[in-house]
Amino acid sequence: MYGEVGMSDLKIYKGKCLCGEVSFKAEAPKKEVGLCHCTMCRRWNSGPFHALAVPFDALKVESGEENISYYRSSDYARRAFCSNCGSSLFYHGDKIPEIAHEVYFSAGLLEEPTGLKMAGHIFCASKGDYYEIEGDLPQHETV
Amino acid sequence: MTKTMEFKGRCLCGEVAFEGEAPDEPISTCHCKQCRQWGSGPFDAYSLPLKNLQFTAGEDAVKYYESSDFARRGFCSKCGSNLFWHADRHPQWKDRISIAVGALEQQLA
Ligand SMILES: [Zn+2]
Ligand SMILES: [Zn+2]
Repeated sequence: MYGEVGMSDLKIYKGKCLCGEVSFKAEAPKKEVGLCHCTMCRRWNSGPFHALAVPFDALKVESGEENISYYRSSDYARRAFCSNCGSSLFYHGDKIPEIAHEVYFSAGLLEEPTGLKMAGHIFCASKGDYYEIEGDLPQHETV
Repeated sequence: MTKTMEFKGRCLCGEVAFEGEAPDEPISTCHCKQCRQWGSGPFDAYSLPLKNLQFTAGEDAVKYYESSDFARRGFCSKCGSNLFWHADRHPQWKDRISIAVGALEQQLA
């Protein structure tokens, strides 16, 4: 699904929402950014969800925990957003055993430059009709 | 006569719904850091006259965040869907609104 690189290559991620109330820090394996084109992600974000897999345990909320709202978007997953500004924070498949240990964190929250690269695209079969997926990165029909 | 299109949209949880008819104009994508901080990546927007947007459900569930001196961003307070960018205090732009394209009903690829 999202890009895998060497587990030993740890990186410090820092990010915050648009209003700045919610901020995060994580020390986690360096990953690449994946784009999800599913209808749910696009409804949530206006376009594809740009996400980075971070272990749930590694994600530390530095401020504004009380502003994090969760919306259960399916039986198996929840989406976190800032209740003050509406920034998308992360997707967590908390009821999916294979991925419950990680969250897909919004890449837009990260301090720049991020030094990250894009891994590829998932759920391309449900992409919007107003754009094409460009480039040579892998495109998966579903995951 | 300008060509128009009918549109319908809703947030992820369905609490907020809207519709309207507006000039058939291309979608634009904003790559600014504010938009990317809000919605993980570029903001895909359909801009139209504010008066052409009608709420059919949940107008009171839309929460606005003032993201600059001249603009505000509307999102669903229940599910967090990014819905609108509105330069409500900008003299030239206040009568227009940009809708998140992902919220619109559309054909799949
Ligand atoms: Zn915020
Ligand atoms: Zn909603």
